[in-house]
Amino acid sequence: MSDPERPDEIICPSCNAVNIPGTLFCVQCGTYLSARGPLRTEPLSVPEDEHGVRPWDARTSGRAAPATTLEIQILHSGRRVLLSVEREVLIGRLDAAHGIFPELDMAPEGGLEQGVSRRHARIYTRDGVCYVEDLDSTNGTYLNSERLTPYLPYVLSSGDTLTLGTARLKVNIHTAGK
Amino acid sequence: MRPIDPTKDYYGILGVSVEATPEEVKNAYRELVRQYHPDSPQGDEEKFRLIQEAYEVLRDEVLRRTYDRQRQIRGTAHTAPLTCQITLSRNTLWSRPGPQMLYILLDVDARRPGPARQRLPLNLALVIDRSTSMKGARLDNVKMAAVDLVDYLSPADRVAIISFSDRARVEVPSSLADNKVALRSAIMGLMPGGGTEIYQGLLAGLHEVSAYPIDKYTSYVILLTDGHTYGDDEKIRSLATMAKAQGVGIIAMGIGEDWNDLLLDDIAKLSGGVSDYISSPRQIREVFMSRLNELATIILRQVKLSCNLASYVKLHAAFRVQPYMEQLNLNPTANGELAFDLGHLSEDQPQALVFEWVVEAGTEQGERRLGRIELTGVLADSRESVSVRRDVKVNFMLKPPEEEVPARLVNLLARLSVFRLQEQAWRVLEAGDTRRATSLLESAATRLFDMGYPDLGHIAMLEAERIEKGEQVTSKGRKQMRYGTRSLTIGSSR
Repeated sequence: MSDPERPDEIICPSCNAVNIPGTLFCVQCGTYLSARGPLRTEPLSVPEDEHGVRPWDARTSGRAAPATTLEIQILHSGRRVLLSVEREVLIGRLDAAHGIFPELDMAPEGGLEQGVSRRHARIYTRDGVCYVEDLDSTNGTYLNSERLTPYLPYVLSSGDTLTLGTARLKVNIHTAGK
Repeated sequence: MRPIDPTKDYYGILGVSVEATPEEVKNAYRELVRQYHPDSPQGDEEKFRLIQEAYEVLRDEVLRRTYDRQRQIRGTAHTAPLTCQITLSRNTLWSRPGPQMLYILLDVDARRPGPARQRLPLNLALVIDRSTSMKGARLDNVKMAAVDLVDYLSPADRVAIISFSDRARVEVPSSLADNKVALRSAIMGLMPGGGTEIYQGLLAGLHEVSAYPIDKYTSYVILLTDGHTYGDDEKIRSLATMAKAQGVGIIAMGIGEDWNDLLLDDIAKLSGGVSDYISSPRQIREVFMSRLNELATIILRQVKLSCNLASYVKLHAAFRVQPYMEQLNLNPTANGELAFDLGHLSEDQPQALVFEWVVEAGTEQGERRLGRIELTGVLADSRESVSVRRDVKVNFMLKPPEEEVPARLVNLLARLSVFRLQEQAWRVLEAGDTRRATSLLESAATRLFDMGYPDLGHIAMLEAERIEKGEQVTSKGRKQMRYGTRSLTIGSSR
């Protein structure tokens, strides 16, 4: 019986050892015990189906909250990704050793060579408005041709182009009910 | 990129102290930039530009250092000689009962408080193994390294040269390094032959060095060996402890594969020195010069750290993680404080330490001080003692929010966990538990492959396989693992 009011012990996903709350690396096998659990973002190579919707989007779109979906096209590879912005979207490069699991992982597109930081920028919504914020990335983020000041939110609109390092992304915003 | 302008007080512009952590700098910047952004009601373009300029310099470790140095040259710096920055894995903890883990990262750095003075002269004893096994490339390279050292010394420095095999011989008693010709010829005349009796050599070296006052010199014995010593291990350990009591550090360098790494590490640790693994004779000169340079740029000596913890906080483990990893030995003090000796701090060689505290909460909600950390040290040139004190505070809450663990801390802990896995493997292997040793090394290998160190990962796999098959681990494999993993944090920047 676990007490919902008490922090849980952390069971290591790899060796089942029990670690006290707050432990970051399993005492037995050294596995990283991320505070957010060992969840890894699904591979983002979205098959283009006729509705442009992935199964988990379909599930969330049934809820009352107006679902805003972000469609990002990585211009040099042509890859199109659909993301729900109900939760914040982190753009960067996957680094499992450091527990960095971005929603949009640029590593497979040569993100490193293009100067994309592991935690480069984030996109989120407040009161139905979409914002983009540079996370003090090494090579900076540009919204259309404006360089973003780190940690300052900028309004993101459909049709905008984001440049991360040298990687260019085309953004389209779809709001349900429109 | 704008040039750095040392006439501007970047710290003042951001409203942070010169010791502010990268996190504090970032937070201050975030707040200011929102306030003064030209699009906001209180916007101020000129101020906004200054804030950005200050941040661009202070956010970058290299630029910040350069700026600090330029300020120092201008005499406008208020540089603290000893700085300590604290980073916690969490700033909020559960107020409910039950143990919780908290990681504390300490970045300790020494900077010259004023313009560099004449450095404190060195007082060294070179204790050179001339046993039969040193014959050839090893002794030749040691000789070259020793000659480099003699050339490096200035006339105010002292040096003694001792060779040992079955017995120790004082080739040159401690003398001022003004007659370099005589020193060079003594070094070049060393002939190999005999066994390895480290104790005799070390004793003679310590005797030469400790004859001169430690407040006038930086006093070190440098031991170079390639072999096992037999039967005098305990005597050597107590000699190392004695050296420390006399203010003399020992730098222990092992060449090749056949020396006892655990003994040399102990010598270094007990005396407040360092140990080095030199796998090929070609590296001897390089390692030697880098250590020498470190000794010549010592800013603070006898650096000690003590922690005073709240009753419900227990120290679980303590490690040095940079410049290299090692477990720290506890020196209990009379008043029950937890104290550690950190040795010396050299210019441009910051140290990072990681502590694991287990917090047995069950306390009220709100901010609490978990402990106080105090660092003390003695300035090498003026003998003035300096200290810095830091409180570790967290907020206890019923439901603490999710917090992002600072990337640098995760980065260091990931490497530390690999170092610990393999250290534990050798320990349980010593105790005969081959199954556990195999699984620990396999875990270490997995982590090493994950982190992008396939070479070390392969060594770990090979040694694990040998243990599983009931074979002996190789001396080389063990050294490569131990000294390779302890160096994994080299170059991970702040």
